[in-house]
Amino acid sequence: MVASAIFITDLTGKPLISRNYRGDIPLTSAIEKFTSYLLEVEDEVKKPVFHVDANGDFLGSEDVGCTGAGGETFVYVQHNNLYLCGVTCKNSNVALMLTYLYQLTSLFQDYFSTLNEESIRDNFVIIYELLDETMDHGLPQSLDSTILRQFITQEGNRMADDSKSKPPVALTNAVSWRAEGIKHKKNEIFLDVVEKINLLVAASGTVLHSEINGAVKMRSFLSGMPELKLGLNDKLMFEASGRSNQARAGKSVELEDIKFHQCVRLARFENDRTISFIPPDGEFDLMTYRLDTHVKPLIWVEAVVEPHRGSRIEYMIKTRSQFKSRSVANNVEISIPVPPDVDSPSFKSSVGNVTYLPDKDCVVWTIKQFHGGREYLMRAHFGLPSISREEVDGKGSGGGGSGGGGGGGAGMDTSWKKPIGVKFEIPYFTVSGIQVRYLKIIERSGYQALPWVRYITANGDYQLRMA
Amino acid sequence: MATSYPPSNMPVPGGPGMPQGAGAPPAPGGGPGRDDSYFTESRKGEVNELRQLLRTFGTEKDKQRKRDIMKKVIAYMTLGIDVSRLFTEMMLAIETRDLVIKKMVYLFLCNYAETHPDLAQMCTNTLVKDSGNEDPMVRGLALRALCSLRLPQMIEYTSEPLRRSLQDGHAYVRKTGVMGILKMYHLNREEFDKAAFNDILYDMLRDPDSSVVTNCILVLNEIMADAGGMALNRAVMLHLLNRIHEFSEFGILSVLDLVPRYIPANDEEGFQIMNLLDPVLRTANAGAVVATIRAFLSIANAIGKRPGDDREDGSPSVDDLKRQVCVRIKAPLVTLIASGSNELTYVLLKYADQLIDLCPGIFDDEYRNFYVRYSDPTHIKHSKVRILAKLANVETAPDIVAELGELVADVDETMGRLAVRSMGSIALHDSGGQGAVESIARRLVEMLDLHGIPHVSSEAATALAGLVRRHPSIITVVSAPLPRALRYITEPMGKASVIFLLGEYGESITEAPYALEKVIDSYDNITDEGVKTALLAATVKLFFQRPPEVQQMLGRLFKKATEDASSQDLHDRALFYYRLLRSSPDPNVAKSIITSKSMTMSTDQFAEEDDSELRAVLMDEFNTLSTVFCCKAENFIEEDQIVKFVKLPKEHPLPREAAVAPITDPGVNTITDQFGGASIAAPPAPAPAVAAPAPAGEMDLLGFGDDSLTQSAPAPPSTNSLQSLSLKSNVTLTGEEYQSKWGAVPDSEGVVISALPMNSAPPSTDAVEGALGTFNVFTMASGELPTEFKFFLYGQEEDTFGGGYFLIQAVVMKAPSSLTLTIKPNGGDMDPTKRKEKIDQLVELIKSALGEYLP
Repeated sequence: MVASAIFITDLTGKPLISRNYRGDIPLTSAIEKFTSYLLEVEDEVKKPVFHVDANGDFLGSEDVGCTGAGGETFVYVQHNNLYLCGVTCKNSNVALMLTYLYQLTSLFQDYFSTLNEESIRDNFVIIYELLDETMDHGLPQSLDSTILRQFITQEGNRMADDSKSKPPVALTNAVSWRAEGIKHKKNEIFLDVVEKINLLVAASGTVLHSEINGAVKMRSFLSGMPELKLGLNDKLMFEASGRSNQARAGKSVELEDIKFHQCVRLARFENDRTISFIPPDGEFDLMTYRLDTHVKPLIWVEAVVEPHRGSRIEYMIKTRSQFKSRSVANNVEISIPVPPDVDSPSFKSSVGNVTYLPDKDCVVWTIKQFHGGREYLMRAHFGLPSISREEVDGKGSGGGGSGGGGGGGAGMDTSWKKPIGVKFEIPYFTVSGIQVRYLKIIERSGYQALPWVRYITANGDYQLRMA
Repeated sequence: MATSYPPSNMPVPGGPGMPQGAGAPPAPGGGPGRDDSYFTESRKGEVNELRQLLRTFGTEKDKQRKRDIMKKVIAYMTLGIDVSRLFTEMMLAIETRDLVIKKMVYLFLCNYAETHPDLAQMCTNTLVKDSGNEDPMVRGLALRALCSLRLPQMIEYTSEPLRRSLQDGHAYVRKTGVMGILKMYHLNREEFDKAAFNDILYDMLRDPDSSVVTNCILVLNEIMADAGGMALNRAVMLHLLNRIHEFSEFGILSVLDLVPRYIPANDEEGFQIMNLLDPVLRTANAGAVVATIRAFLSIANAIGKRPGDDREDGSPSVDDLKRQVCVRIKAPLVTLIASGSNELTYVLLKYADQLIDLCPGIFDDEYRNFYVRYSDPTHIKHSKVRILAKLANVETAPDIVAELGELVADVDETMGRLAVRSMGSIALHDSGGQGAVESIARRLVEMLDLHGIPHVSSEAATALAGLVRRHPSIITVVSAPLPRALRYITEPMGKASVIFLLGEYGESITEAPYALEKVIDSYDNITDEGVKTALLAATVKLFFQRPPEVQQMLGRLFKKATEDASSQDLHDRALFYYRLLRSSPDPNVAKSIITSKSMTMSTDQFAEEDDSELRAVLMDEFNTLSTVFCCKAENFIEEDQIVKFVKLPKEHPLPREAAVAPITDPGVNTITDQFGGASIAAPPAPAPAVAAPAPAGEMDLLGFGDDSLTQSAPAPPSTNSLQSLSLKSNVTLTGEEYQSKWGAVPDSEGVVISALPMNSAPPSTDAVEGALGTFNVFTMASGELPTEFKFFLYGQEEDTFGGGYFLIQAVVMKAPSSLTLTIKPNGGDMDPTKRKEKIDQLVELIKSALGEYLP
C-alpha cells in the first residue's frame, strides 16, 4: 500500500487536518478535488473508491483508463461527521488502505473516546503525532493503541529528561500488542459473547437469508504476561481431541468461519483447535465467527396494510417471539414504514408504546420486555390527503392511468417499499448455542483472576419486506 | 473569511463549526474552552502577536505554557494560515528536552522547509545532532524529520546519519532509517546510487526486529520498481516465510505481497507455502486475507499442471488447483463481505466478482449472501445484482430470478436496468437450465408491459432480443406482445430491439407489418439513428416474408431514408437495399442475400463480451485498484508509478525434473497438508523449510550461508540415526491396496513388538497420526475403542533405498498404557538382515515420534 497523503475533512469536505507523506501529489488541490467530488457527485453515484484523471475529471469505475494514465485515486471512509481519506497515485492495495483507515478511526476513538469534528480540533497535536507514527512515507507502521499509548499520551507529559533513555517502542517485543509490566489491583477479565442476527424475509413470508455474526469480545484487566486458554463447545475441537461422543450429543456448535485477533496463536488453532493467547490490555475482539445456518426468526412480524386511496390507510401489525419462554427480549423496537404524506395518526396496541416519526416516515412500536412465546397486536390508522404527493409532483404513477395495461402497473406506485426493521436484545442467550466451557488464566506470579462471561443476542441487519 | 489568509501550501481552512468573531472569545460551551481558543479567527496581526509570544519562549519557565505557545503556532498552521514567517523563532525552540515540543517543531519544519530552503538548511545541524541523541525516540524523530525535509541540496547531510542509524541498537531508529533511505531515493537518485544502500538493505532482511524487516521489504520493492521490486531467491523467500508469525498484522502484508512473485522450486514447496500461509486467512485484517488469496492463486498458477506439460499424472492441473484455492478462501471472503463496513464490502465484492469469473460455480451456494439489503448503499446493491446473475445454476436460478424480479421496479433506475440485464444474462448463459430460460422469458415479456417504467420495458426488450438469438424457440413466448410493446416503448435501445424482433420473426406475428407501418409513418419523429437503421433492416427482411403487405411501406421508407440527411450511413444503406432489389433479375438472389437466417449463437457469450485477456492481466494485478476499476494499471496509472509484475527467481522455472522429486530434507513435510498429496495431519513446524539447503548453483544473494540458516532451524528429527531407512513423504495407498499388501505377507514374516510400556495414553488418534505423519508414517485407518486405540499405518522407502512398503498395525492400550506394533515389510530389499535392520530403525522412528508418551 502506498498512500501519498491522508486527510480528514468534515461532511462538506472542508479539511480539518492533513498529512502529506510523500509529496508526490499537490495536497491542497487534491483536497479541493475531494471536496468538489462530495458536492458535485450525486449521492447514489458516489463510491468509496474513485479516480480523478489528469484533467481533474471524476471518472466512474467503468470509465477509468479511458482518458489516459495519470491522476489520483481517493479512498475514503465516513465516521460520524467526518471523512477520512487517503490519496494515491499508484496502483495501491485498496483493501489495505481501507483497513488502515478503519484502524486509524478506532485508534482515534481509543484515544479520544469519541471521534468527531470537535475531538479532532481538541487534539490536533496528538493526531499529528499519531499520523506520524502509524504511517511513514505512505506505508503503514504500527497501529496498536496499547503500544502507541506508551509514548504518545493525551497529557503529553513524557519528557525526554525524565525518561532515562527507556526504549520508546515495544515493537521489538515478540508480543507486540502488549507491554511488559502491566499492573492491575484486581485481576479481572470480562468476556462477552455477542451474536447478531442478519435476517431477510420476503414479502411472502419465506426467509430469504439468515445468518449469525458472532463475536467474542473481551475486556482484559490482567497484570503481567498472562497466558490464556479459551475453551468453547466447538464441534471440530471435540472431534479433534477425540471426544466425538460429546460432539454428537448436540451440545457443540460448528463454527463456519472464524477470524481471530492477532494475539491468538493460529498455528496452534490449526493444529488442535485450541484458542491460546496473551491478551492485549483493555478492550478487544478476540474472535468473530459466522454461521450460515437457517435460524427461526426470533421475532416475527406480519403486517397487513389496507390503503384507501385518498382517505386513510390502516395497518395491522402482529408480532410473535419465537424463542423459549424463559428468555426475554429487551428494548424491542419494530419500525414500520408508512407513506410520506400521512397525517392524524392513531394507534391501539396490546402492549408497549407506539410513536410516529414523521422525519423518518415510519411508526416505531417499542416493547420494553418481550417474553418468549408471546404474540402481540398493534393497529395503526392514518389519514391520507385526498391528492397523493406523486400526483402533485406530476409523476402520474402507473397504477392510476394504466387502464388495461396488464397487471403490472398496479404495484408500481408503492415501488420498492422500505422493509420492516426490528431491533432487540436478548441477554443470557445465544442462537448458535455457543458456550464458553472454560477460560484458563495462567501467569507466572500465580495470581487468581476472575473471568466474567456474558451472553447476548441482538439484531444485526434484520429486515422483513412488506407485502 | 478566506480572503484574509495569505497564500499558503496548506489547505484552505475554515468550517462552520469553528468559533468566529473578532474578539476571538473561547467557544461557548466548549468544555473548558482550553483548546478551542487555538482555532479563533485570525488576522495577519495575530501572526505578529505569535512572534512576540515566541520571543518570550526562551525565558518561559513553565513547560505547559511553552507547549501552549507551540500549540498555537501549529494550530494556525493546521488552519492553513501561513506561519512560515515565524521560521527563525521556531528554530530557536528546537533545542528543547520536551519531546512534545520537539515533535511540533519538527512538524513545522517539515511543512515549511520546501518553501524556505535557506532557513531550513540552518537547522540541519541541530537535526543531525539530535539524530545522535541518547534517547532512541529523539534519534528516530530527528532522523525522520531530517529525511522528510524534501530538500535535495541537503542530501549530503543526511546520508551519514542515515548510515549510522542502520547500525543503531534500537529497532525504532533502524526502521525509521530504512524508511529514510526511500525518502532519499525519491529526492536525489544520483546521490542515492552513490551511497549504495541496496546491499545493506538486503542484509537487513535478517534484522531480528520484524518491523525493520517489513520496512526493508517495502523500501526495496519501491527502489527496485523497474525490475519488478525486491530481488527474490529461494533463501530469502523461505527465510521470510518462516518468520511470518513474528510480523505485525500490517507487516505481514509486505511478505504476503512477495509471494505472488515467487516461483516455488517445486510442487511440494508450493503446497508447503500455502499450508504455511493458511492460518493468515483467519486473521481479522481484510488486507492480509486478500493478500493471502492472491498468493494462493499465484502459487496455484505456478505449480499446477498445464495441458502439454509432461509431468507425472498425479499432479493437479492449474484449474483444479485454483478451484481448490477458491473453495478454501470462500468462507473467509464471504465473512468479510458480510461483516465488513460498507466501503470494504464494496471493494471485496469487486474481488469476489473477479474470483467468480475465475472459478465459475464456486460461490453458487452462497448466493443468499449476495441478496440486496434495503440499507445497502447504491453501489453495493449494483455490485450484488451483477454478481447474482453469475451465481445462477439449475438449483439457484429460481430463487435468484425471483429476487431480481423484486428489484426490477426499484426507484433507482440503474438498479432496475441492472436487474433486468442480470435476468437476461442468466437465460442467455443458460445457467438456469431450459425451464429457467422460458420462465425468465415470460417474466421479461411481462415487463414489456410495464409502461409505467419506460426504462424497464426497454431493457426487457433488449434482453429478449438477445435471448431469441440464443434460444430461437423462445419466440413463441415473446411474439404476442411485441406489436403492442412497440407502441409504448420509448427508449431507442428497446425500440430498436422490438423492431429487430418484428423483422426477424414477422412471419409468425400477424400484426408485424402494421406495427412497423406505424413507425414508418412517423419516421420524421424518430431521432435516434439506431432505431432508423433497425427499422430499415427489419422492413426489408419482412418484405421477403410477406411481400404483398410490406411492399408499399417499404417504398415509403426507402424514400424517407434516402432523403434523410441526418446520417450518411443510413442513407447509403437505404440506397444499397434499394439498388439490390431493383437490379437483381431474380428476386430470390436478393432474398438469399438479405434473409439468410441469422446465425444462432452456439457459445453462451457474445463476441464483444469476451474479455479473457483483460481478466488474465487483472488476475496478475489482483488486490489493487485495477481490480476495483476493472482496468489495467497501465491505463490509469502514470508509467513511472507502476511496479512491473516480474516473477522470480529465474533459476528454477517450472516444469523441471526437480518437480517430481520432493525436497530431500526430512524436516520439510511437517506441515498440515490441505491441498494435495497425502492428507497428513501434523503440527506445523515453526521453521521447517529453512533447513532445506539452497539448490546448488543458486546465487547466494544475501550471504544466507547454510550455517546461519541451519542454526536457526530446529535440528531435523533424528536424521543421523537413520542412515539406511528413508521414507517417502508423499505416499498414498487405497484401502484395497493396503489389504492386499497386508495379506500378501505371511504372518510369519511380520515382526511383532509387543506391549512397550507407555507413560500415558495419547489423547486422541489425531495426536498419534500427526506425530507419525511428521516422520512419513501415514495412517490408513484408525479407531478408538473403549480400552484401546487402533491404527493401521504404512510407509514407503525412497526408491533409492529399495522402494519397499512397511505395513504397520499399532494398538495403544489406554490403561495401563502400552504400545504393540506388528510390522510387515512388502517388497523392497529381500536380504533378511537388511530387512531386520530397517524394521528396527522403523520401530525406533515410531518410538521417537511418540516420544512424549514413552518413558
